[in-house]
Amino acid sequence: MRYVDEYRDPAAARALVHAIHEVADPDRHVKVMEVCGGHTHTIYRHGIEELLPEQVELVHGPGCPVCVIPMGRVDDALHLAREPNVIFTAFGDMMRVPGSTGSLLDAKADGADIRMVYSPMDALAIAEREPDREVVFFAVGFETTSPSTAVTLLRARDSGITNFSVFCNHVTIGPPLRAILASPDLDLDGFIGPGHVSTVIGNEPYRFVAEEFGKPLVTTGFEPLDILQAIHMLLTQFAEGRCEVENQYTRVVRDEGNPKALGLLAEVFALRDTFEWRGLGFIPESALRVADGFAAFDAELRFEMPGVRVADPPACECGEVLKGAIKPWECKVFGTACTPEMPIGTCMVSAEGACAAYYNFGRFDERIAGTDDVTALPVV
Amino acid sequence: MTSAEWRRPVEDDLASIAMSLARRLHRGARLWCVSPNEAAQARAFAERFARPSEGGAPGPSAVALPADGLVAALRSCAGPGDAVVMIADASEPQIRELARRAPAWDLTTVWIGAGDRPTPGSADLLFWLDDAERTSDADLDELARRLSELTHVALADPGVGDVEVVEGAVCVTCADEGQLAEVVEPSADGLTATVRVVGELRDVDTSLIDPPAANDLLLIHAGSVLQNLDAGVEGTPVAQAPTGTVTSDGSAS
Repeated sequence: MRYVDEYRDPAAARALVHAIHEVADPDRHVKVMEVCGGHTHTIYRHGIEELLPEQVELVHGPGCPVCVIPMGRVDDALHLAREPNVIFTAFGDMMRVPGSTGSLLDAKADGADIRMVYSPMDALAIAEREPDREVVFFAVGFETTSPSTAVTLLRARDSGITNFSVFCNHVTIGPPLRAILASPDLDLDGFIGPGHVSTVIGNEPYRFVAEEFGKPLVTTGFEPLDILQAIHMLLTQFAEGRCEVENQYTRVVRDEGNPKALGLLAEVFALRDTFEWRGLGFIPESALRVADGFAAFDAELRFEMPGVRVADPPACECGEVLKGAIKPWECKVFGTACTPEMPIGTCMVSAEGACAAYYNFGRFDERIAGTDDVTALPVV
Repeated sequence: MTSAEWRRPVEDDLASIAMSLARRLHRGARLWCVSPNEAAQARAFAERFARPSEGGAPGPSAVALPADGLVAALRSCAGPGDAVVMIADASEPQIRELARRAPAWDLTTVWIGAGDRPTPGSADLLFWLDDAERTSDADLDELARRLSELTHVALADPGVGDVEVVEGAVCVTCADEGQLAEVVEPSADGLTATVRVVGELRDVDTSLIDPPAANDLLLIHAGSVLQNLDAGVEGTPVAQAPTGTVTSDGSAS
């Protein structure tokens, strides 16, 4: 829940690590996917993976909202940003996501009026201040973020603001989980479930993971001790032969989620028939569009959109990373042509992206992670 | 357990706390000292820290607060980036409440005590002694002396401002994570509120929750409140460690 420089209770951490080693079956290799990018960030910032038994493998999932945006949608955003009279607004990390002709930051350098906002409400405030301009908000994110966009659209309608629209790329967490579980490439044993997405949707939407696919899931907070405890809870389920959806993050997440937020999402958005996810391809009913009742605020209806599907750069293996099929350091451009300063793939853009997490916290290569041999590090 | 076995983590913890405090004090933070049950302990701690270093450099700003109304006093006195040293048992209600709210105020918390441990994650930094090592005032004064000296040494290091872990620009909205906020003033219609988040005041939308009250702790994301943490959510502050005793070298009994 918070960014802290230190989060120290060595005794508690030692106890959890010891308990994890105790409960882990030495003869069974288990693969656990952390779905949320925030968890990936915590795991690599605090070196949690290196505390685990060898037979427990963490796999990084598609829960970074920046990383899953396909290149074609970024190109659409760039097109909107270059429209005359448009003020294009976006969250911070989206500014650096590369499209086929550069990023929003590049477009801003070229003279497009692109502004970074903290909240969609900020974008609406710009629209109120500048009624002669068209303000477009680049909406991305899972169910943590979509309620804020929904509230903003409601406010825009109620305030009679007509120069505001949303380029909606909101996604939902359930369908990609189902796609991953159905993928023959992956043989996952359990999931560390999202924390703050679950604040909105609750734990019920994950029941299919246990009931249909026979995999346990533990909804988890973002502190290192939260993650360690979630891993312990999963391993305990394996050891006891259970398969359940459990909630480690009881201090924040309620089983029913936030009913008001869910009601508003149902009013303002509708499910798209299908949506492209980077690395996962097209997944049915996995994203939101602006509902018909709010069509006046839908940028895709308001502007001509290229809507062209663009393939990722051939060298980039973000897709395989997002599916958990390979580790970031197995991508041939990782840390060389692709760095946080000059990212090729989305996973290197956001701090929550698996590649950026590996890069920033020195997990360059499994073979040399944890050694002091800096000469073995790749020159970047 | 041999003395070498317990000394190592104690020294590690002291050094780590000193370095963390030095980073903050270097940036102009004030150090607040509180000890609800023994006001003299907080005063002694603050005095130790505020003394000039042996090299004559002025000591950092350190202030002891009286025991009554600690939470309200710190809410109005402390600024973003400050640190608070809390000397108390794990069960002390004012300290538990203070530690819970500190993230919204952007305070770094250092909890010093003995006996039963606080719930893991209650404070940023924990210095805890087992029951058998319960400290007297003299022991605590010695601890304060060592911690203040270590902090002064770290402060004198010209590189103290460089040791902060730099992660680059992180967009908390893109990170899809909520932040803790404390209500300063809810609007009359209950649809918005001014909140304190990471020590700053912001206006947020509260239409997705029941109208909050002043001082409620909220989870916010992208300008909207997703949850009122003071409204019926189970109050486990952070992960519970499994039961069992673990020694300083990590072996369990």
